[in-house]
Amino acid sequence: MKLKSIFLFLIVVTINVCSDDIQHSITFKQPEETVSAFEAVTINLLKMSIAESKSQRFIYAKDKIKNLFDFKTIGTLILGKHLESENKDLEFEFIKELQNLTARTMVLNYVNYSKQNYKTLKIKKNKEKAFVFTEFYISDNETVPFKFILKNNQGNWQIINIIASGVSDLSVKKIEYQSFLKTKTLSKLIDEIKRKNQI
Amino acid sequence: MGVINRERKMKTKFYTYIGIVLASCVFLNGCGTTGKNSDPFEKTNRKFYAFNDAIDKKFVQPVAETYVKITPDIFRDGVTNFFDNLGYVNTISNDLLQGKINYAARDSARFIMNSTFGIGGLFDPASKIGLEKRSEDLGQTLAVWGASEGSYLMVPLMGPSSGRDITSPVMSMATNPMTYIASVFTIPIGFLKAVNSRANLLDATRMRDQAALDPYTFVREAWRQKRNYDIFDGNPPTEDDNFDQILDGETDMGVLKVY
Repeated sequence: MKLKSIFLFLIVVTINVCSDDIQHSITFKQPEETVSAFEAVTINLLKMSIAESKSQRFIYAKDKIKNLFDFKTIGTLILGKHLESENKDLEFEFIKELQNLTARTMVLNYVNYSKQNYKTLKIKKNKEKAFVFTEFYISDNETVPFKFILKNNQGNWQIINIIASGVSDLSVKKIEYQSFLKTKTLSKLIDEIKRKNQI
Repeated sequence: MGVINRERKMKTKFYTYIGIVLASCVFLNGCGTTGKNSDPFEKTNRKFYAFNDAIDKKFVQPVAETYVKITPDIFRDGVTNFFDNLGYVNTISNDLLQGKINYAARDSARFIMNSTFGIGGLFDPASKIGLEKRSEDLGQTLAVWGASEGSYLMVPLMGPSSGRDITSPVMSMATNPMTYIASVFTIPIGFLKAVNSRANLLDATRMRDQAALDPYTFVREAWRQKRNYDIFDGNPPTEDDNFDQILDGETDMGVLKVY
C-alpha cells in the first residue's frame, strides 16, 4: 500500500515537472496568442476564486505568467539608468519580485466570476512590436478597454505593458519606483516590493 | 409669488455659477504651468491626500462597503444610471463647447431615450442600441481649447484635480437639475450619490492599496493618464514610433505616453 502511494506520488511529481517544462517552452508565434493565453489565465483565476485559496491561485498565476510577460524588459524599462549602476543579483531579484507582484495583483483583482469575457477589437503589429486592443466585459454597465503592448523575443511574443482605460501599468510603476529611487537604493525598493507581496 | 421668488433665486444661483466659472477661467491662465515640475505643491498635496485618505478609510469607505453589501447590483446600477443621466446636460453642453456636434447629437438622443424609456434614467436602454455612455466636463473642454494641465492639486474632500480641472465641478453643478431642487431632497440624494460614487471606486482603491508603494504618486499618475485618455475620447496621441528607442533605452519618456 505504501509502495503504491509512493509510486503514485512519483508519477504525479513527474507529470508536474514535465508539464512545467512544456509550459516554459511554449512559444507564442502571434501576439494575439499571447493575449488570448493571458485572458484565459485571468478567466481561470476568476473561476478558481470560487473554491480555491489565494495561495493556490498565486502559484497558478505565477507559473502561467512567466512566459506571457517579458519581465526582463519590463524591469529595464521601469528602472532605466538605475539598473545600470546596480549588480546583476539585484536586477535578478527585482525582476523576480516584479513577477510576484504581478501574480499577486492578478490574484487579488480577478475574483468573483460572473461570465466576464474579452473581445479582441484590433491588432497593430510589425516584426518587433505589436499592439492588441481588447475589451474586458464585466457587466452590462461596465466594460474596460485594454491595450496590450507586446515585444517579439526571437519568435516568442511577450507582453511588456498593459494599459487599462488609458492607465499604463508600466508608466505608473516607472514613475513611482523612480521617485522612490531618488532618495533610496534599489535593495530598499526590492524590500518594499517584498513587503507588499507579503501583505 | 413663491414660484416667482424661487425662479429669481434659481436665476441668481445660475448667474453666480457662471460668474465663478468665468472668474476661474481667468485665474486658470495664471495657474497653467509649462515647466517640467507639474506638481509644485506636492508637500501640501501630500498633506491633503493623507487627510482625504484618513477620512475615507474611517468613514466613507466603510459606508460604501456596507452599501455594496446590503444593496443588490441592480439597485446600484439603477442609481449609477440615474446620476449619470443627470450629468448629461453637462456632457452635451461641453460637447457643444468643444465643437463635437456629432457627439452632442448622440448624447442628446441618449439623454432623451434614457430619461423617457429608461424611466428618468434609472435604466440604460440607449447603450443597447449603440448610444454608449460618455462623459465630458469643463476641464476637458479647456484642454481641447488649448489650456495646459497646470499644477496638480489634491482638493480636500474631493480628490485629485489640476489647475485646469478645478473649475469642472462648478459647471457640473450649474448644469445639474438637482441643484435647482429644494435642499430637503438634494441633501439625501447628494449623500446617496456620494456613497454610490465611492462604491464604484472600491475596486480602483483596492487595486491602489494592493499595488502601490507610494499611493500618492500612484493616484496622481493614474489620474493624469485617465484624464488624458478622456480628453482625447479614448484615442490619445501615441508615440508608437518611439517604441524601438524605448527598448534601446534611448528615451524613457515615450513609454509614459504610450496609451
